[in-house]
Amino acid sequence: MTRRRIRSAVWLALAVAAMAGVGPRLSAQARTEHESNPLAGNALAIRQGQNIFRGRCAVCHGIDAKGYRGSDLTSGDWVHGGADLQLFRTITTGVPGTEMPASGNLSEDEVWMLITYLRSLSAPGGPAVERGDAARGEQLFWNTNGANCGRCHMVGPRGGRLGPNLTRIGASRSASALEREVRRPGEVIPIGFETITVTTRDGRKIRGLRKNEDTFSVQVMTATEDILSFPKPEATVDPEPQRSLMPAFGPDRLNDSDLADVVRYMRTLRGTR
Amino acid sequence: MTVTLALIGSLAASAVAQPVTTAEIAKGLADPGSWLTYGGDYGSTRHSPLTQITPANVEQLAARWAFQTAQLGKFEATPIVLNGVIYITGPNNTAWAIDARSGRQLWSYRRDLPDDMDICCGRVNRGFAVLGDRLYMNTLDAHLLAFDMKTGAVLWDVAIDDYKLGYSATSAPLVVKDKIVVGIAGAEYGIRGFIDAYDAVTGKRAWRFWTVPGPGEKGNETWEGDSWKRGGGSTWVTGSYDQALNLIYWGTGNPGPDLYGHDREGDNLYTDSVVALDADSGTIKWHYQFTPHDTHDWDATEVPVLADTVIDGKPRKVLLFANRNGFYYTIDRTNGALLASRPFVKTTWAEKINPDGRPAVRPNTDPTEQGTEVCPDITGGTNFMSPAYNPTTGLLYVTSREVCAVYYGWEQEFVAGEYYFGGAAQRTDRGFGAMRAIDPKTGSVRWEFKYHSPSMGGVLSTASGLVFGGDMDGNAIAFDASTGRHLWHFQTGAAIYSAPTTFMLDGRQWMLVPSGTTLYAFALPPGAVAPARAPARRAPGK
Repeated sequence: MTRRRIRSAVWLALAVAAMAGVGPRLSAQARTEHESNPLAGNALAIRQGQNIFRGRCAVCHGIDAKGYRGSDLTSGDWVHGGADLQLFRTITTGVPGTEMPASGNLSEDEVWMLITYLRSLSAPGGPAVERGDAARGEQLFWNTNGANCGRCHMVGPRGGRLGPNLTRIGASRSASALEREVRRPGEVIPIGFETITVTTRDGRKIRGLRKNEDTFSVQVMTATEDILSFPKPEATVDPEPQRSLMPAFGPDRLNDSDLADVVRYMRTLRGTR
Repeated sequence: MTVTLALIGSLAASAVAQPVTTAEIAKGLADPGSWLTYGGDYGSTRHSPLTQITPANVEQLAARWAFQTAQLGKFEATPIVLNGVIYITGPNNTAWAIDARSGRQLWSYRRDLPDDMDICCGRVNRGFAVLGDRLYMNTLDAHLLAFDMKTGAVLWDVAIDDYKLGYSATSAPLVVKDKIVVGIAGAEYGIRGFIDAYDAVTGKRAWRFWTVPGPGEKGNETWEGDSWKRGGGSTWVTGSYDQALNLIYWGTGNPGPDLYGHDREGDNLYTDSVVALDADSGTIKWHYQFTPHDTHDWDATEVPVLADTVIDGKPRKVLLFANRNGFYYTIDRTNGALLASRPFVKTTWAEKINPDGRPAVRPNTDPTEQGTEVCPDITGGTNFMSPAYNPTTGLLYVTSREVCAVYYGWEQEFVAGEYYFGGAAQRTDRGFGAMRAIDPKTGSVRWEFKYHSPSMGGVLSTASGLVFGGDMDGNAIAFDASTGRHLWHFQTGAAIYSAPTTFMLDGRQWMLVPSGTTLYAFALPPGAVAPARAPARRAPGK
């Protein structure tokens, strides 16, 4: 393996930086001297990379890397740059403003192994052409007689506050993940949007989104977008796991063609951070 | 200008410390104005005799000052308190002396750490030790430092081991007689663990106990091939000491690699154990291994609590141990025999602990490439956070975590100094936490108070019948020690990773809670406290 070679290159870089007496203090985060992946195509690295992926990435990107809560990593469509160094940076530093965290304690070699594995999955010939009509999807998204997604979701300054902000959703979700989330919104509910019912001491019941909760209080957004706070244990909290306040848009509410259009529109949403 | 100088003079005077003797440390928390060792006393009971704050008045407890460190990271430290001064260590080997009356800094220290250090699990420190007029601190780059208490000047600096091989040190040292006993971290990097003792005056190493025995030593046969060389067994949480038996009790960490065991078949002694060492020589007297051949990263680096109790009509010297693997244990500390054991959280890897002390392990609970769901999770049923023991209620108060995980394991090449974990783990859900009161006679849970999230906060017990804890969502909390009833809480604004401490000053009982990188000081309002008979403030120069 190239581990020792990589490591000595890193140490050399550090020594040079120390002698020059410049530059910020380095954190434990992995960094690299390489312009491109030194493990490219290495069979063992692909296997190790798969192991790391399963343990660290699969919970969001799916066990097959085709995207779940996180984006599809097999499409060849790299929103934050597809060059080796860009992928290295995305993995090690995360993507600010999204759910993608920094990789924490992965070593430089482990990051390259991950990239080697991801390259082995990428579709040849780059990203596939997505189906659907984005312009029509936009109409459906905002039309109160259409899917009316804007009732609860914001894009830029427009829209409701009950659901997650979708300004950048096209950058973090694959088309298949978006289709799933529209059809079955209860499957993965982000933190801050879980459905709960709060019962007060006088028997009042308030159903809404859990904005926050600790041992002694809970904060809820109601269907009318009011934010309420209740002390515990005076108020009790009943979570509804796997139940989203968002209605499931089955084929009866949104046929496959309309769904494809709405999803195509959402895939264009890659707005400012 | 004259006024300013006079004030500085007065503060400095309050920092004048009488040299601390081992006899004073051995008295534990008997001196109401002091907190002299990590666990409060040599038994690590964290049980204070103070009674000013009671279940009846704790509701009035309020923050009196906050000390903000302006550091990134978090406190995990237990402060040393002496003569009205608080000595506390912070992240990245920072440290402060703070005037306990005002919360104002007397001196600060920051170590210039090497840039190429790889620390797996937080750049934290758990506190100073004190002896004479010196403080002692372990560092992330695996050094032991001696400080002058009055100024924070470093008096000597010795390397415990080589940080480039993955060694680091985060625990508070333990003063035993004229020696400074230290533990080491780094089992995620394939180190070979040890416990060291250093001469308190010179810093010269007096003895080393390897937690992984070498060839020819008893226990080496529990390691396949040369796997002992990278066997782990770190010692990153401070142990306890029994003066009468002259034994040091110390918990040991996981074998390496953490989640893959096929390269190290055997029990892997003395990992995931508590070892009893002769305090003068460091030789092992007995051991008890909680998790033979661990593949779930269940370090036994929890705090061993020493108590004297009566079990089945017989007075027993016991060691109480709530373990990361989900089981609670009561052990005879004279010989290591198991007296009681029971799970204190949901535990699926073993059915029970057999009478011979070995776990009855359930099949198919090892990590695999496809993943195996096991409870508890990798952080465990509890962890480094200190429990507390109240001899009057006879209960051990333990921060408990209810979380399960899917464990993945795979073969990994060993490279010296590099991360050597052999797998990964993923929590199955967010879980929850609890303060639980365990009866050491049986291991059964007497009461619990549930936390919204799994907590990493330590515990304090007081003779007035209070238990203090903290949760991951930032709450410092007081409970009735007998019933677990919630009596008080304060939202500190950051997750609590330390245990509260308490002391008397000027006739008032203070309570310290490190939270995030802020140190909070609490006391009752002046009206709620009977006036002190005489002004306790020391005159300058005394």
